[in-house]
Amino acid sequence: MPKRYRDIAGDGGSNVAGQVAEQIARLRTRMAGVKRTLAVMSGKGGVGKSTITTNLAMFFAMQGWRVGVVDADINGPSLATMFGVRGHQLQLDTNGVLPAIGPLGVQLMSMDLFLAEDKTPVVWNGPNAETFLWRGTMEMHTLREFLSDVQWGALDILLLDLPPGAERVSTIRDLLPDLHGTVVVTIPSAVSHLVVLKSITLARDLLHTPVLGLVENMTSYVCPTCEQVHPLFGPTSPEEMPLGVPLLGRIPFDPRLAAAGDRGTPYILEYGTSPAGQALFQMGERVRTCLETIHEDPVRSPAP
Amino acid sequence: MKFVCTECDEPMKFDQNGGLDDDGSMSATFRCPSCEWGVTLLINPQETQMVRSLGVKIGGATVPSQPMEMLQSHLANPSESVTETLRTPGASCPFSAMVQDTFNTTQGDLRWAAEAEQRLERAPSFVRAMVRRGIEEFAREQGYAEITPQVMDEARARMGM
Repeated sequence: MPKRYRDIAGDGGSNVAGQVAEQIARLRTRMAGVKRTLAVMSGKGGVGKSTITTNLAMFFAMQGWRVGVVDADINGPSLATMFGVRGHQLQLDTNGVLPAIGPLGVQLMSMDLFLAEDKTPVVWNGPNAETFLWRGTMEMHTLREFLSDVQWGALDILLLDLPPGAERVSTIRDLLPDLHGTVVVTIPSAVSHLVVLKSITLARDLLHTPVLGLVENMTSYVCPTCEQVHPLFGPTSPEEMPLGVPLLGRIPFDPRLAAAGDRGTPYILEYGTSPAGQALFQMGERVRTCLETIHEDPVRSPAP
Repeated sequence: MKFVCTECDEPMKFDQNGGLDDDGSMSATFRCPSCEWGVTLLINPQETQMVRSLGVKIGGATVPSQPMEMLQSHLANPSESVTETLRTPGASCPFSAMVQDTFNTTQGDLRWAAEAEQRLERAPSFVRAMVRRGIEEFAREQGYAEITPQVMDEARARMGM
């Protein structure tokens, strides 16, 4: 009877399993200093995930929390611009890379800090053909290094700004099995809800990741002349649990949100009293309440 | 992936890394500890890249991995500040050391003929720097001031390629 794979201990010398275990141990050690981890996600692109992440980070920093942010959008990083740290010179020692420091001391790691120029895309050394075979794995391990090889120090919260699509949630769940929660961002359109609903199902029902709730972005705009509030996409649902999860906030559209991101000055710092600023503060309060409730509950995400 | 010597019914052990070829393929030899019969695994460029993308080293890691090792080894177009600040000595594993070599810059004391540059462009991007360096080293040894397709042929012959 020839031997089977499981009959042989080890792999002949490469010890791939041991190398992977070392990677995981390194990640666990680094994350031991982080009290809470929170992913901001959406199945849909262009709904304002990075804007919500940036302002949520600022909200927590304003509460005196020590905040770190990982720009998990490896191919379309934007947070270095939104935090005003583009061009930051990365520094490395044997303990890892020092993150960039943004407003209010918020720490940031983004692929953007590694790229040469504005026009530079993320290109990996490798065969030009059939890149689909390995590109996703490369991105996952880049994210792992962003978590494990950055000198985050002690943090009260680490936010992860995920790229559009649902697949990165699986990666995050693998890397951070103790993920404290996800915030789902959408806009009040039927198309966006349809796509985002799938992400919620994946995160909550299949990956058993705690979904704290939903943020509806760009729900309305304030007329600069008459100051009346008008819906931007149509009437919003009166439900308390749109898409089956708690509503964390409805953020009205304000052109200054985009302008603040472009300038690298988070909106909530400058326009905290505006309608959108107040909505962002309310959203932050609700997320904080959810996190504090979840943090005290040892059974955060029971499998069905 | 594991190998068994069917004659001895013994698991084979990693013996040596045959290194990375200019098309991105590589080889690794495993040997039976009892009868010393060997088998060489030939890995195509995509399979090689799959292993690289896992952040592990074939033949085992002889030193702990460096922070951001995978990113700095594999990102094709990092900013200058990254290459200056983050580059760390490569691990002693021949595989990763060869990969690290692809990032080493070449000296500007040699002129490359346009035809030679075009020919170099045909090599996969991730081995181009390594090939360039090998050819330049050969050219310096031979006292050539310019690298032409003929010099490249000579270098290839010397390297057994």
